Amino acid sequence: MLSKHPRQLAIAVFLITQSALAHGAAAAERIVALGGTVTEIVFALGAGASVVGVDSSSVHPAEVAGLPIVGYQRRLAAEGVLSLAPTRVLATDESGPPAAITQIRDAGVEVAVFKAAESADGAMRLIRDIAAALGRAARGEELVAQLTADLRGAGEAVAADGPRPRVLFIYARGPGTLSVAGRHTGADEMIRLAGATNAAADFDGFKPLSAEGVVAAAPEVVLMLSRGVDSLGGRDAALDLPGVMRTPAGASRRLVVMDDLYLLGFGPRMGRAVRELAVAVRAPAPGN
Amino acid sequence: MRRIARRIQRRTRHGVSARRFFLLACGVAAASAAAASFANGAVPIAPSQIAAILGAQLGIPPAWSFEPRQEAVLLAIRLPRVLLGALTGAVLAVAGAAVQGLLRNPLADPALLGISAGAALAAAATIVCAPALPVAIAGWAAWTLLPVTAFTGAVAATAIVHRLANRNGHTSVATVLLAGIAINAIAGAGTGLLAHLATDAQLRDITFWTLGSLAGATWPSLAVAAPMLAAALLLARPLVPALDLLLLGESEARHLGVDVEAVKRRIVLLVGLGVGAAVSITGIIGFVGLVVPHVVRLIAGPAHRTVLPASALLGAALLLAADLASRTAVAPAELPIGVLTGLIGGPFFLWLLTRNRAAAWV
Amino acid sequence: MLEARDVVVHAGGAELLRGVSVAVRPGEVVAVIGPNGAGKSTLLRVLSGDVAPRAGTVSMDGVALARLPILEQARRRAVLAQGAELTFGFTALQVALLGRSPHLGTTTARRDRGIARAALRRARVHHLASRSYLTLSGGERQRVMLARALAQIWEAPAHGARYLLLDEPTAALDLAQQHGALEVARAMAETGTGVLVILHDLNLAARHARRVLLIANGRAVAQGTPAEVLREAVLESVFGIGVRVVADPVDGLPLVFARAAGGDVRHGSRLARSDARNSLLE
Repeated sequence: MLSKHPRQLAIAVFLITQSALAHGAAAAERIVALGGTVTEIVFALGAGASVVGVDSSSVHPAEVAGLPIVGYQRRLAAEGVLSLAPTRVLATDESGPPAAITQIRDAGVEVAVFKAAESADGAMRLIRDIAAALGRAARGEELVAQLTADLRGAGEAVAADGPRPRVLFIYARGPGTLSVAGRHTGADEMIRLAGATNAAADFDGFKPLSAEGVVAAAPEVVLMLSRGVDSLGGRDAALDLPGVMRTPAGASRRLVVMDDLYLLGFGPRMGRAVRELAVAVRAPAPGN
Repeated sequence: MRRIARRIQRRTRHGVSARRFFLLACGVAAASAAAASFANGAVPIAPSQIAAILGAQLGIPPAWSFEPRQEAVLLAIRLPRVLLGALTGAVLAVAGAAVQGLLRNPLADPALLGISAGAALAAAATIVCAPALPVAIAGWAAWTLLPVTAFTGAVAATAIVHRLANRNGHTSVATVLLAGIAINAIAGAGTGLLAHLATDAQLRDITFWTLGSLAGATWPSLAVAAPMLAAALLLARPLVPALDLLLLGESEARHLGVDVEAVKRRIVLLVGLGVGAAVSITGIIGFVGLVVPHVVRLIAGPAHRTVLPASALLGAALLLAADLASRTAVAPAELPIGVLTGLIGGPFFLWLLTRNRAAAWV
Repeated sequence: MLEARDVVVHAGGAELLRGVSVAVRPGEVVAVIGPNGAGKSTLLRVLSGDVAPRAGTVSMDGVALARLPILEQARRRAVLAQGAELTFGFTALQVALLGRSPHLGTTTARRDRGIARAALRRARVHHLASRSYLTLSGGERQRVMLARALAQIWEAPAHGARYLLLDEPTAALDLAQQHGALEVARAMAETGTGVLVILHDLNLAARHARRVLLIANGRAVAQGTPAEVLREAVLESVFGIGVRVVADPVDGLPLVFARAAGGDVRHGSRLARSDARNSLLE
């Protein structure tokens, strides 16, 4: 019966094969994702199946566990990345060295560079940019909407005229190297969004910790990353740091510990992180 | 009578060809390491494809098919890397032999002169201070400027050491050593301070730079570094007889007609230029300058006529072998090459020493 | 002739040589003797070009040393100084070959090897040719270094004479080896080389040198034949120890004995100072 309408048959076959090819092409996409937040967004957008390799800072979601790691994001081996036969590389402005990026591009692989986010707006822009690059704009908008809702929810959890705890973010790389986050840092932004005050607001960027400076800042809560607390030897060791010990935070043993990527990733989970932080810094001191 | 003569003849002939055989063996080692380094890596490329890609460069139509990815890897990544690895390995080893001759001690190393420390300080300063520059050039500066500042740091350290040790045209070897120690201390303190002030990303950059890597081998960077490395090797060649005589002592060398001051200046120049150029592109790769000439002496004796060319060849072989391992051991990531030169060279050196207990200082 | 004339050498505020003259003539062995610190090594270093005198001249075959390129000097003058320390394992043959370096370009490798072997033979260390220098005893090392110096001036140059400067070449050698080394020096002299040798052993000087120069406190105290210089009065005043000089019954050359306290006689060599002066001397 179909043979009676050869042209319709031809068109039908053509359309079917084209859509099959299009679907096949999308499945044949091989992505190397660099940067913890970029990887997170790629998976959140539903393109996780296309990811063939990630960098060492990509730890979320759990599916990345079995993927090949191309190394430290700032020190890529071009040949290593190319050995995964990627069709494109999604990188951040932190990725490098520039020579390796150039070599990857020269081999015919597209490298899309995205600016890392350090604010809510930045996070939404990043989600939209990556979504556009992957052709999943609709899903991207869903993520942005979810993030907006999360942030609004977190804001509501913070009473407008309620207490704004003084929070100090300490970055630790072992007991010898400690620094404090001032203005214009990711930590500062998260503290602000959580409705708290950065206790160290008289300088920009990171500054090495001095015991006197910390005492002068008089934080009520100390905020640290889990990796930093581990490098110091645990919560008690962190609260017993000279200087910290003599602050209200040290006295009342109020230390909030959060995962690095979760707190400072400025990705899709950002809203939830803000809410968690807002609740944690208002939590009563242990033992009360 | 005839039997004795023949035995003596054989010994003499054996003596002459033993050296040639050894140098040939070193050459084979270097060539094999280069070939292995070129043909292997994270991206699999079959030998037939290698032939096809190389042939295509010469205009021969390819008999086997290959992907553009493989061509890019072979020609733009591996080839400059192998060339840089060979040149750097050769220069580091020859510079090591030269410093050992200058200080009359087989345990000396170019690092003693403070060259690497000076380069490291300059590199750390560049990495940490780059953000202070206008944003527009900060990113570019941190990477493109890095080899330039590192080289400047190396040259500055060499110049300071030479200046301190040179009085009235006479270079005091003891002062060279002491000045090198001082430079190492100062540069180490400076680098430590910079590391303390560095952000997390900057600290990782400094650390990786210090651990050494051949990843910076691109055709543009090679175009700048290769002439300097080649120049350092060429500077070393005419020094062969003088280096032997210098081992007798400075006055003895002078009694044998050597312009000792000129030779010492030349050694410092060749080491500063060669090691400086190498370090600026690859970061710090230790151990090659110390172990390779030593191993050569253990096998072939201290005559520089053999030590210099053999060190160049074996240094190249060692570095290329280490680079191959660094690229394939944890693919798709890379290991720092300085760790590997130690892991390969160290145990081998120990084994040779236990076999040769009689030889104290070779 | 390798000649130093009225040379004055200062170093670190001290006057090491005050107007000393010596001529090393081809065919002759000159022995330089004197107490420690007298300036003997300094004089040798002036002749070897290591030290430039504050005043006075030093010349080789009529040309001032300062104006002769060091390579040219090295082709005609070999120096065997004290304290040369080689810490690398060259073979004895390779060490001797190092002596041929100034002649690079004017000779073939085969010829050099032949000369090096002959030099080792002359110094009686040919059997050590393929041994590592580091495995040799002090005496063997000294003779290998002597071979090196001999190899350096093995052949007569196109013009001018050859010179050999030896600073205590017998320090680590046994009795027979000491005389052996100095016989080698004498043999070199007989082929036209001018030899200057610093010695502590006065009797070795008497037996092997045609002329002796006695230096004390940076000044030349006496110069002449061994019999002229080795006299009791002058030796006593210079060395500060009682000495007795007799004529050897066999060859008539002076034999020097130092007299320790209590009248014991000892062979005249390196000795500790003694306060005793025996009236028998006068």
